[in-house]
Amino acid sequence: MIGQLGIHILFGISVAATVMYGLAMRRASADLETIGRWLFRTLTAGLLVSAAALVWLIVTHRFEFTYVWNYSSRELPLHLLVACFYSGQEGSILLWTLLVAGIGSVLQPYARRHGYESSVMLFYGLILSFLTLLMVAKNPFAYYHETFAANGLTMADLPENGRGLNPLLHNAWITIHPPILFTGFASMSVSFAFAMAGLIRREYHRWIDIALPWTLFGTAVLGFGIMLGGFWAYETLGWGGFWGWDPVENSSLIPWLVVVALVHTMLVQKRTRGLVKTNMVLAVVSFVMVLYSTFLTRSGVLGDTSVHSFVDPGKFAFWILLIFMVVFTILGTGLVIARRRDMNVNREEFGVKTREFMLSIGASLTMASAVFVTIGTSWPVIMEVLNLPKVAVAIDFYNQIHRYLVPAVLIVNGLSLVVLWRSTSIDRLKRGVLPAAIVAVAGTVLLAAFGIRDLWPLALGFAAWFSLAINVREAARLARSGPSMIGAYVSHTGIALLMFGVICTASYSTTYHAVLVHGKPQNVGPYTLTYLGKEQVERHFKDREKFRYYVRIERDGQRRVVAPVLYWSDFNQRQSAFLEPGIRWGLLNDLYVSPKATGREDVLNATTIMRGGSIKAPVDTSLTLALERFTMPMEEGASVDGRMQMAGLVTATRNGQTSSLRLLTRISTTSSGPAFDPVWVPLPGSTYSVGLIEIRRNNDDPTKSTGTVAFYDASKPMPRAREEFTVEFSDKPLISLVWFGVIAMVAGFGLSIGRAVSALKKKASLSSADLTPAADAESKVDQSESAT
Amino acid sequence: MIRKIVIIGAAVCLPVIIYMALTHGQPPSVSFDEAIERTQHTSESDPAAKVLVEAEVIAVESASDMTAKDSKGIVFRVEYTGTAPQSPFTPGMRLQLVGHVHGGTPPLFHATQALSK
Repeated sequence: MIGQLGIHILFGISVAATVMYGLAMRRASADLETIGRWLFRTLTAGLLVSAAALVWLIVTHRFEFTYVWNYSSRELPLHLLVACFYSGQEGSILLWTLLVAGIGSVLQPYARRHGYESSVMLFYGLILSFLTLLMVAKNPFAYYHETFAANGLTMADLPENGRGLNPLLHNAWITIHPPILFTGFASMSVSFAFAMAGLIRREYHRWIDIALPWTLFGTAVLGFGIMLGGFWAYETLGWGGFWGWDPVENSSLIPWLVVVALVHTMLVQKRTRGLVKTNMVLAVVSFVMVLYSTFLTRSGVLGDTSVHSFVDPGKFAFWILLIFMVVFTILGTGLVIARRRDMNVNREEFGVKTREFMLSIGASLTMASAVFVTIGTSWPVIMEVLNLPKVAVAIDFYNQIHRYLVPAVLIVNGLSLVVLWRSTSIDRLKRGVLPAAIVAVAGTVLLAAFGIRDLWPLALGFAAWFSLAINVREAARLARSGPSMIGAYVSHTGIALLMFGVICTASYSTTYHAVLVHGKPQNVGPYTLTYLGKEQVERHFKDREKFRYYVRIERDGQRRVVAPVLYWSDFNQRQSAFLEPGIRWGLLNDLYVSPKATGREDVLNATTIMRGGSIKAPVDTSLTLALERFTMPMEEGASVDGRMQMAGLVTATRNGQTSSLRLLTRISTTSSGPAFDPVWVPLPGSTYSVGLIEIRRNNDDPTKSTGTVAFYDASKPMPRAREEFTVEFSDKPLISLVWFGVIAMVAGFGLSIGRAVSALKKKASLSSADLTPAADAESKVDQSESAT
Repeated sequence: MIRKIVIIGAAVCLPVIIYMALTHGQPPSVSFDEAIERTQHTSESDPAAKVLVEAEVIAVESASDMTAKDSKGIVFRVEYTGTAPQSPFTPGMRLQLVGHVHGGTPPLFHATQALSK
């Protein structure tokens, strides 16, 4: 009750803080601003207490709360119990709200120092009002007996244990990836709030300086979060690759692409005072895209079009999400439109041989990617609205588009660093481009020499070499001035490395399908794989028997053992298996063993017969076996040792002579389904015996039920069926470049943030601080020249 | 100039992208046995790919369970979990069922969308 009431109170406080900041801005009142400030601090503290309370309820197994029952269980270790906090919709909304408030508590004094407090915090408060309203709709403190009151449950019906956390989430990444991703999402609010404040105050340039470090921070953190998601999918979830263009992945990528474009257009405005409206629009779009992506992935509209699972949030939350998105879209675009003439003060054409032109083209290409990914991700929703089949677009849609976009972005990136602000001489352009072009041609020839023949990887390779050559050269030139100067180049180098990783894995990866028999080495491509056996792990979980399957990989005398995991769990009613790959990590290549299925070797010549049908015995083709029917054996009894007993009545015919066989089998129930223990019956005129090893009953039409019979030579010892482990084995060359590339990209952003913050600290020289890459002395722009 | 490039680029690219999405975002129209065959190419952990089966409703057991017959005359069970239809399913109704096959004996078609023909 206290928790639920608390959430309602927090919503009230957020509305009150927003109103106070609004009034403070309107009346220029320091007193009202102080009240707004204290209300905001109270809100942040309240959210912190709520989050701590929820974690405490989860850790102490208070299953009287629906959320705790739904997402946690007693068997979970502490780190996973803490992760349960944000594993469901209610908790993740609380985490998002908490992070927005947390960032707000750093933003508040920062905005105050720059004289932006009430105008920025007004919009920030409005965002928090919607988020807390969403928390009211998706309250994590709802009681179990209230949630299931319609089923007749009362307060006395306390569950002993919770449903538990989705087994797919049982790893360390759940503790890292969501908080980082949500921090990225939360930080997108800041540039939006500053842009709105700039519009209201008619300060169309100043907000750029102040918001730039936050925008860089948001870009870096969200990019890092996306990369962690890709790494998680690759390393633990066994999806085989690092990016699958899934709606949930795309929903993080879209705002990131927009904010990457925003960072670059902000740099253009900083130097040229152009692109004023573009920056306002992009700041609005980057935030609205966070809301749109949230709507897509949390409203349930994408339903079954993703490998991620979605929970229907209910109508109230659906409408809040929709209104949240619509309100901020109208608010943002409305303000931009209202101020459009005001902003239209410095319209000038950018020359083609200028950095501002190249950065604008680069931003346009990045935005094009964002638009196309948005169309692809929204496709099922568009189709449903048009009453057409609701299906996600195939991955090829995204791949085909980016075959053109990514090389173009890399080429433009390289060119943007060669040209100068305002104008560039042809000589300088040639001096900058030619060496990089020679490196790119040589690098592309090298790729072709290594066997790449397709146009797309060659074009991407050329573009990546071109961008890499220019960025490394520029970074080397500027490194002498200090590491903070080379942030942009490190980021761009990271992107080029990432692209090399993509080319290598896309062009050179080899994948084999193999059925490994226990203890039997098998040649798979140039490797020898041996399935060594399995080991049960995490026995304390009662919903599963989780096994680690040891596979030895050998080549040229070198041996490595990997341990993929495959198991079935009651969590999803054993409808599909849970998989974790086994990976041999390497700088030059990864060996990736993805489990597919388990089974037993067929040493008994098993054959299936439909009821009423007949087969030739595989061990003696002169013998025909016909399955008459299945029956409960009256003489032997319906059960033996507590196991149900069934019989298959089979007619054996050889050379016109017929005999009846009664194939008994004892059935016991195991966690993986029924197990059959046959009573072996000699086949007439043969050394072989036959047994009924499986019955598949067709409940709708029992005449279509089937039986599986097996045979073995009774004159010899019964052969032992060995276990089989089916895998997909891949050799992924230079995939490490993908991870190094992303790490370099994020590190570059980190350096740029440091540079932006230190430049801002030099308040006296704020207006002339140059945060743009490659501050070329010859291209310095006199601010008065372009001042409005 | 930038503005012109962006406008021309959008005017040229957007129709192309929508055409590409149309071609990449259509479920293959198959019979029920072809839908079963397609499930055999997916691994145990992956959901079967979505397909479209044109069918005629034979019997309606409940709001979510019915029996249907495809264009080849194959009779199969349908479990429907999509949004409530504008008019309830009735025998003789011809539908385009979008969904995938669930294995087992007998297999059933899990429809997430039912479009009237």
